[in-house]
This record gives sequence, C-alpha cells and structure tokens, in this order.
Amino acid sequence: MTLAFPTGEPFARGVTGYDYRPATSHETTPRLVLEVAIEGILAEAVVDTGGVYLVCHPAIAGRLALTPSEALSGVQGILLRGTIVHGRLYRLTLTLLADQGEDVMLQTTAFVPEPEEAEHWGDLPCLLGLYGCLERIRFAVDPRAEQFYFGPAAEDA
Amino acid sequence: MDLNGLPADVAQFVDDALASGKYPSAEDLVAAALQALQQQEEDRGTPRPAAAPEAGSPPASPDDYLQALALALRTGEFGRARQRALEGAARYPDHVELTKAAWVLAPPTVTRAPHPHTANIQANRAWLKAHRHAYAGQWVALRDGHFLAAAPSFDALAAQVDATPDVLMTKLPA
Repeated sequence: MTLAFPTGEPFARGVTGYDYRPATSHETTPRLVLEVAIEGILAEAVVDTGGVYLVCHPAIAGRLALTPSEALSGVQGILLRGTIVHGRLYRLTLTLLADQGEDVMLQTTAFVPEPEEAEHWGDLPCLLGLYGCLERIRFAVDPRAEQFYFGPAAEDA
Repeated sequence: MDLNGLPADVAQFVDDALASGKYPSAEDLVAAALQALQQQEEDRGTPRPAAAPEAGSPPASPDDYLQALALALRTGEFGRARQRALEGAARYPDHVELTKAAWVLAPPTVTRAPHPHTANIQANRAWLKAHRHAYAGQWVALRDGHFLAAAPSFDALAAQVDATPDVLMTKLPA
C-alpha cells in the first residue's frame, strides 16, 4: 500500500476494498460502497461526493442510541437528493476502515433522520457526502483493483 | 426579468398573462405566482419559512442566526448554514445553541485512529459479494464474514442477533 507525493510524503494512510454496485434496488448506476464505522458501529456507506454530510440510515441511527440534546436544536428539514427529509444534525465520529495501513477517524456533521423517515427510506445505505464529511480527506480510487485509498489532508490535534 | 427556458405551455401562459395587462411586468407575474405557490404550500400544512434577513446583511440577534441557518439547511445552502453558525457563535460565544450549531456544522476534523479495528471487513465484503443475490432485499447480519441471520426488516433482524458494534447489519438491494 503506497501512494506518495514526489517528495515522499504519503498521500494515503490506508486502503480498503469497495463494492461497486448500485446503491439501491431502484438505481442502475454503480456506486462505491465501503464498510465504515459510525460511532464504532459497522455500516455500509456510499461515497457520495455530490452530497453533503454523513447521512445515516434510520436503522443505523437507531443503533447509535443518540439523544436529541446532543443535536443541533430541533428537527431540521434538509434538502437531500431533491427531497426534504426531516432529521437532526449531530457531530459523529466516522472511521474509514483500512484493509491495509491505518484507519482514519473523522468528526463529521451527521444527518440522522427521524424514525418516521424509515418507512420511506428503502435500501439506501448511509451516505458519505463531501461537504461536512469527506472534505478534509485525500482519497483516490483504483477502479481496476477496486481499492479506495484515503488519508488526512491535514491532521488535527 | 428573463424567463427563458420555460416549458412551452408555461411560456405561452406568461405571454398571454402579460399581454392581457393584468400584470404590469414579468416581475409582478412571478411574484403573484410565488404567492400562489406559498399559499398552496401553507394549505398543505407546510410551515411558512422563517423570515430571512436581507441577503448580505448579518442577522441581528442569536434567534436571527438560528433562523437563518435553519432556512439555509431547508433550502440546501449548506455552506451558508455553516457560515451563519460560525459567525453567530463568534458573535455570541455564550449562546448555548449557537455554540452547539457551530460545533455540529464546523468543518470535519481528522485524527489518527487510536486503535486499529478488529472486525474482519474483508471477510464481510467477500461474503456480501458471494451471497448478495441469494439474500436480495433482506437485512443480513455478519460478523467477521460469518453469516449470523437474515430477516425482511431491521427490527426482525435485531431481534435475532446480539447487535454488538462489530456486527455488520445491512440491507441488500432487491
């Protein structure tokens, strides 16, 4: 596992395989589906660079046992994929899990849908948006080997 | 106001409405249309958005900041929501909600994981690839590549397994 700049500085710290498949049964366009940990809980998540925030599947949100007092006040209606979805915004820890190299932890803005959204959610996994989630990560994709390389663009204390 | 790119029937309606003299200008017509749309949304039970401050003018109170960021989230202006939260928290550092909003919406921070994970995610991935079609449309639970259970719903699956954090519970597309 080596990806480095000409200076020798590593570009990536970890690499993981991904599944290349449609995110839902209603879609035909393949997506990068990774296995990640959200607050330590394993989940499948789609890399969604056109999206924002870490968006939790309602069922995964239920496993997190979050309390509304930790969230930004009130239920927010957020425009996601062209639809207003109701939920709360939290600060959650996302861990990118490496097959080789090191895991990377991110404190992200996370959108957690209200439980009532579950019945409309379907089989859409969690989403890793760029803004608010992956924006401080370097990442690269090797489509031939189906490998997702990642590392911090800058490391916080 | 340019109203280019409208569907043909809507463009024809605009032309006819302006020609009738009922609306002095395209701006007046658009304003009337938006008022009708707003009324329709209110009749459906959609709450009226909180009043937003004029573009470019900073909110005048902590509540204004919170309303502005809620409106920004609702309209998909996520950058503006973060900006309002950070500005508001800087201006009112003792305001609990604004401070929390700034923390929640701040740019991500990245740190080295203190411990490597112990779950065998490669084995999970291999199992999913091999059995995706057999369990299409079902929730499945895996631990280190070993199948634990499958069920048609998350709740039914959760009732069958000890859902420790190292258990991957995921729904396979139908």
